[in-house]
Amino acid sequence: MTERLAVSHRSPIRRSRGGGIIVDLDAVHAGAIGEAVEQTRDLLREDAPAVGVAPGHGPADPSSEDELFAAIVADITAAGDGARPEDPVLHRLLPDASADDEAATEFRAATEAGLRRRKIAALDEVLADLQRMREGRGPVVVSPQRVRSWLTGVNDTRLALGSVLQIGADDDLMGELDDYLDDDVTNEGDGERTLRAYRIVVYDILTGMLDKIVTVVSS
Amino acid sequence: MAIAPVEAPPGTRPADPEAEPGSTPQVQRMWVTIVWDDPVNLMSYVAYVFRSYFGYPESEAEGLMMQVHTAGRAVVSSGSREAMERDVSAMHEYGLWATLQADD
Repeated sequence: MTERLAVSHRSPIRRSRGGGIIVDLDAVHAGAIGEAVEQTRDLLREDAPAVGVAPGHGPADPSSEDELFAAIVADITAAGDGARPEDPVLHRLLPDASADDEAATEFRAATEAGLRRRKIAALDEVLADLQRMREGRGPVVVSPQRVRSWLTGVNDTRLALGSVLQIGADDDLMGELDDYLDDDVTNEGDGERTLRAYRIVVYDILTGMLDKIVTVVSS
Repeated sequence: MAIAPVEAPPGTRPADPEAEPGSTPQVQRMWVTIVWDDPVNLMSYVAYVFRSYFGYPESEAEGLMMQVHTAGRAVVSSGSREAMERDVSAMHEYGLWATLQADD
């Protein structure tokens, strides 16, 4: 695990009067974060085993019995073969449930489609909110019922980015970023280092946001 | 004086009454949910998940979180296999790395 160190810049997250959160990002930041959230959503969606019901169309929090029933049926009919995802990023989002291979496969076959559907639905919700801010339509008020989608959506995006960046327990990402900035990485035409620096910045913003959401909902 | 009902501590899941019909309930196999350390999940977030999903009081949630952080893993709940499957699914939904195993 890791710890979020105190930061001086203003957080885009604050408490709303109704017990939820207010997310206040400018269009540029909403765009950068939205891109990472979208990539995470697409990874979960594109690599999904072929099923009768398209994943991502089920509601995160089914409000009617019909929707709930449809979601349950979708999960049952979507039972896959239980094969472990080959992509390490996807595997981090959908980890093995057991050290025993046979048990892990059985569990995955029965549950993975549902897990993907719920993760995709949460990421879609976050994306819709970010889209509003991208269009300059001001801060978004997230109700207490929807805060969980922001918690899991932001965290899944962090997990995906952390996996892409191959973050280790003792990595000093901020130190690494400082080095890139000292080298003026954005001007040297090194695409790979520029992309890595950019991903570290987005990862750090998401980390700060998640820590603040936890603080707000905990108090 | 009224006697308050005795409640199971958080993290203990009731045994599944439908599990293995015919078997004696006393010898029902116990299973556990284990959460593993990883370099990305935030300590504050993991403690929050333990509080909000399992209902652990703050001090216990913090203690379990620190156990995961320092020992690399912690048993966060125990009960029937079905109950542990639900807990592991929930942990995966929160993005925590969790597994279940028989508590032998």
